[in-house]
Amino acid sequence: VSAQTHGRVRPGGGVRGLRRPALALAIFVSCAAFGVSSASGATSIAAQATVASVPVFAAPNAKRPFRVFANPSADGSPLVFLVRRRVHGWVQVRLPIRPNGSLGWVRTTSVSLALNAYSVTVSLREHRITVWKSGRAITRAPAAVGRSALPTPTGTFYIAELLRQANPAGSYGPYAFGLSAYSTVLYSFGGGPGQIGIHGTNEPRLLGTSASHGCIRVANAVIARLAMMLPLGTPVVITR
Amino acid sequence: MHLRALRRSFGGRRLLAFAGLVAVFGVWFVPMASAHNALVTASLACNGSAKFTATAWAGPSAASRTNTDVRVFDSTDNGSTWTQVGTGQFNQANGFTFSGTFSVGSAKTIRVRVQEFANWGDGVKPVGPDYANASGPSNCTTTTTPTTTTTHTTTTPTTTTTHTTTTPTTTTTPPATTTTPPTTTTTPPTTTTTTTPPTTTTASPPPVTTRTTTTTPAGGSAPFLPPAQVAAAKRAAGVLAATRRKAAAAKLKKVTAHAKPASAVAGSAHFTG
Repeated sequence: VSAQTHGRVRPGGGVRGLRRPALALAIFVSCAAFGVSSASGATSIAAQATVASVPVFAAPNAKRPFRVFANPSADGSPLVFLVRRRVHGWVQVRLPIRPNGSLGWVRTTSVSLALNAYSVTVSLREHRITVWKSGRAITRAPAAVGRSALPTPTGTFYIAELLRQANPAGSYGPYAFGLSAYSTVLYSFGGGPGQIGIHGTNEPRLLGTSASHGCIRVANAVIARLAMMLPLGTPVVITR
Repeated sequence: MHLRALRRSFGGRRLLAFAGLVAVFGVWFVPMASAHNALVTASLACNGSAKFTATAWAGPSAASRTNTDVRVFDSTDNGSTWTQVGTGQFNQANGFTFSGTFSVGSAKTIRVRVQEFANWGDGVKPVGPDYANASGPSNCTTTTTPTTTTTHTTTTPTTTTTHTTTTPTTTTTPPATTTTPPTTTTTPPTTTTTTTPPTTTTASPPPVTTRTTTTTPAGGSAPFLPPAQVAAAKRAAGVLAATRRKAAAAKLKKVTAHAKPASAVAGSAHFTG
């Protein structure tokens, strides 16, 4: 897992506020902690559920789980987490629930782990989405983000689901990624729980502005390309 | 009511007589009630040497200033625990005063307590203790001479690390600061560490008690370590934690599988849009 698990990630794998020796140490420590050998420090681990229900614990060897996730999820997507840390027999994962940034521990017997070279960063100020593979930017595109009253939350999240839309010319475009992030303002929207997504748009003129209700809108061509590329569990780091 | 009218009436005369009595006896009784106590002053030098001087109250007679059992205590934790550092008595031979010195180690501030345990010479019972605070000079020069060496050994499943810490000693002696205690004390006598039986010390010479305070880090925390050593210990702890993480990671099964692009599920999105 890359350095984004220990600090704010900058395009190129750099961690803001750290100088080079500290950065090297942070990458070394995080890679050592996660058992990942990655020269660029940009590889994450996705944990896909292998059982019908996944209990999540507050700590390894806790007596009772504080949450149980169904697999597949309600909309039929396989249940996937982003691994933050590994210890023997357990993985600490980011959870796709409120509050943003929730963490929990899952037994390794409940999931299968897979390396993921992709990551996504979103700069709200620049209205730009960037897709990285092994530390290299492979796609940059303008994005529409939340307006000031309905801001897009910042933090480290991950892609939790991918939905193909029945109407590719609709407001979500042909595809919509559901993130593990939730609006801090809207607790329900259009029948959903205020979940943040990355999706296409039928208003491409608004790309590059702060016009959405919190979601990240990209051009339909971009979302179609990303849908063919990004695995579930891909880290999405949203910064100001 | 005018004073002349007050004098004429019988009730007024009684009131004036009572007021006169209060004026005369009040002046006489007030010092009587607040006296009969021991006073103490204390000072602390850079080298950890503390000095106290206990003095009897300025009573009207020698008997009222005489006490055969006076004890001096000190505290380096602002009065939570007390240690007896001296004992003596007030009599005409020592001029109703005695003094002593003791060592407080590396303590920067001390609190000294003097308390009489015998009745005063005129039969008045002990009143209560008197206190004085003393602080070391602020311009002491610190030289870190390794006088004691403490070894902490932390054992982990994979690594053993040894931290060596040294206790500093302070040298040089600028003029010590002295704080004068209040003249009257109404604090009730405390009963901590006063189980020592009365001594039969003669009047002179004044007692000198030496007490050495050793600051030994307990439970891994070193209260008087210099910042450089604290930083070194923190660095060592960080390296230790990194070593432990590395060892734990080595036990983990290496992930070799690679995630595949997501399979889209047909469904209507209900995201915030």
